Amino acid sequence: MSPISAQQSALNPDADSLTPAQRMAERAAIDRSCRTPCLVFFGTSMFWLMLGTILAIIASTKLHTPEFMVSLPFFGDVGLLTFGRIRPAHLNTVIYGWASTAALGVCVWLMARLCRVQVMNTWILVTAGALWNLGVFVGMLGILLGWSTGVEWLEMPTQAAFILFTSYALMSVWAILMFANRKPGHIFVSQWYIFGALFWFPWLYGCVQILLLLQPVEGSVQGIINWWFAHNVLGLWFTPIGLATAYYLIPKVTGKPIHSYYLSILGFWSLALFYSWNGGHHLVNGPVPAWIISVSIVASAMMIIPVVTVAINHHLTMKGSFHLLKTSPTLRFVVFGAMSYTLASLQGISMAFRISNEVTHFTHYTIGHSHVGMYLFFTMMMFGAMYYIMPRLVGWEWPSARLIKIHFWCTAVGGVVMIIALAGGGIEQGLKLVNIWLKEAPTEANPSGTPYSFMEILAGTLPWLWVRTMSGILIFIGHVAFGINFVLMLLRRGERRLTPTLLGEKSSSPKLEAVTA
Amino acid sequence: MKLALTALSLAYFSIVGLCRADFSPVEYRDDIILTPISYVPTMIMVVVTLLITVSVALALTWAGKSGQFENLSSSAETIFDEGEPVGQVTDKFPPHKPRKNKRRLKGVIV
Amino acid sequence: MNKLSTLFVGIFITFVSAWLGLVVIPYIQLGGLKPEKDEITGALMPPALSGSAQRGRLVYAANGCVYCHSQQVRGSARRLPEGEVPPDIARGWGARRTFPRDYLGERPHFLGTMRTGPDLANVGLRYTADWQHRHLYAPAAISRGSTMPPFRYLYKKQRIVGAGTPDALDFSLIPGVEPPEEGYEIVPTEQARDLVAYLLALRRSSYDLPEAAE
Repeated sequence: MSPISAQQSALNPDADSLTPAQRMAERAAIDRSCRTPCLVFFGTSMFWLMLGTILAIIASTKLHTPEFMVSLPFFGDVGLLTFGRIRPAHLNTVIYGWASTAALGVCVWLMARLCRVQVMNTWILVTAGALWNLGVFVGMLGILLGWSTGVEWLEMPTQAAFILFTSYALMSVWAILMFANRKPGHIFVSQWYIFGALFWFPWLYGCVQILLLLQPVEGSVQGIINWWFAHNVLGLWFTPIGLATAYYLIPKVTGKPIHSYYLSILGFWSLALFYSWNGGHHLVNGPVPAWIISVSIVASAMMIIPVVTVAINHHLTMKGSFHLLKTSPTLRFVVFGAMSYTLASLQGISMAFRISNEVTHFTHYTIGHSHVGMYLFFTMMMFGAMYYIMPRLVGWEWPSARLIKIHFWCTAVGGVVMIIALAGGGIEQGLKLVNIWLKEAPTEANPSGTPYSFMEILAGTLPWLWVRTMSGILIFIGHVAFGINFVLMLLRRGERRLTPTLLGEKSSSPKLEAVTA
Repeated sequence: MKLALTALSLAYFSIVGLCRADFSPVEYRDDIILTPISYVPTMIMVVVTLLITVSVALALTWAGKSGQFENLSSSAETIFDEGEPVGQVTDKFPPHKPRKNKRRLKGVIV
Repeated sequence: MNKLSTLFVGIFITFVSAWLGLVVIPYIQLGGLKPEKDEITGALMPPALSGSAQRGRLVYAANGCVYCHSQQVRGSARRLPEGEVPPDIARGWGARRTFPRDYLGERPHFLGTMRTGPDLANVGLRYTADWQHRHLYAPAAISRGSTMPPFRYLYKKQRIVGAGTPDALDFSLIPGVEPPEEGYEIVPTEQARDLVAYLLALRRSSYDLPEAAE
């Protein structure tokens, strides 16, 4: 038995008969033990979030103004800033740099709380965090310098992937150690999701690294494996972590247990079973065997089960507590994220069928869809989680309520506008590309009508893309507000409160103060 | 409740099946014919289906035995305790007092 | 511990099922695919790429062409009226749809997911090398309204020696772009030459595959 757990068991001789004050002290000690690793993950993820947003705005601008930032002063024309490098740099920065890093931070905290033990082996986590950031940095630099592998979602050079994989393996080892030392009792549904995600992702990542880059298969099989991976990053890594967060934070903030625990278990297993089969729908009508596409379409349609169970469960848990959206920043972001999850999934199901996919595939609609999933769902969920976790780590209030509100409204409005622009532009583009929306309707002389030329279709998307860039700037303002609040908090600016509101009314009791101080 | 859910998902599955028949074009077929008929994928699919069935059965048996289906609401309450009991809201915006804050802030920095 | 191991088994099996279905079986089915041999000429279909074109693939990958250009001619899921061809073919992107065999030897694949620009599955059949160089250097000047980024960094300015480089850009054919000063010329770098060699090798409609015959 390690010294920490010995100390804990001395503190809690009998886990079931503790006074409220002891319970709070225990929880505060657990939160405090997460401080170093979580701050490493959250702090660096903030950096990648800012960088990723800037790259996004540059890439978005280049789509409608191709001469934007093609040449640098003194350097002339450089490949570093071409659209084809900025775009994957944006994707990898936000996926691996921001979202995954933030997710790892949230995982650490959730694991500690749900296993009800203090974080052990902090050095593993700090090493993993440092390696992870090194990997993202090397990978992003590699992409910008023109060493991209050219496989979507896996553009980082293999060296970077190796570093990332090592880091992730460390995380998994740590998680297993935590699980092994957990306090007895039921495994809460969030732990199921985290455990699944921590197991699925390294397998997925290792498998595609070997099959696509180290010992690459050829042609069409590459396409199938590529999209099996890219879809599962979302389905088996980000979605479980996002849902684990929602399943913990919604009940915790509102103070109401999950409406139906049965539904949450059903949701978990149906997600595990169906999501991993979805990737093939990215190749509808493409040069791959039709059965792969059919299987993926069926699995995509079956996704309605996990999605609806989660939606019903969260809605019924929230029912009667919607007024808290006014007063709780965490709940605002988390509920917004949970609603977006339903939207993203239903949209994804609707896009999987052959007939709809023919229109939306190859257009901005798909890009919009991935932003519903990654931004409106996952990123908002992580924001919500960070608003809840950070004060408990550092024992300090968020300095400014106003900045939180700016953050929420800029990102929510910006995100929604972006989705509308991409969806609208994408549908217009798609209908014109497959000659359903014709320039001239069929007549007797011209029985198939006149389709739009490619250049006319391109011109049609430009106004939508301008709107998208504007929404990106709005989102960036929101992120800056968050960043300022975050940094001010770390610098301990603002008011040190003796009765920290975010830590709960009761935590002003002198006993807890003694623990936190 | 469980029965209703099972029935719903079955109904949904069959509706999807019916719709899919409609979505397929007339000339719909496998693009690749390596050998006239290859049974390998089919066989593997059968094995996979069996594996899934067995795993689901295993999971359900375990869940039933270990009492995951009994007292479900208590599982949902494991995240609450005496310190933060059911019914306690645990998150709020920080207070909004910009002017007072500024004065105090200086004191803190010094 | 019992609970955790059962959870693990479930998580493992659900994932392994998809892994078998979407990774292993497609590989078994398609991994043994071979190029078709033309009975008369003995030529391979699809033909192997030249060394320069092979290097061009890497330039294509490094500069992210795949984010705007797909390389697949799709069929259509709709019931098209009598005599009408799928939209991709109607747009002139290929004479037939593409099949897995068309992509043999491609590492990485460039099937693509976006058509901000036109499909390139058969771009080698549409344009010459000179056109491609001019277009890469100044896309908007060559095809009006194009939002393709200029790839000027793949070209270099050098002093004209003797009669000049044969593949130097002909600025009389690039409207609205300033030519370099007297005595200088703009020539493609090795990367640009490789990239264009690759683009010219994209001619998937130029050969027939048995599976293309309905």
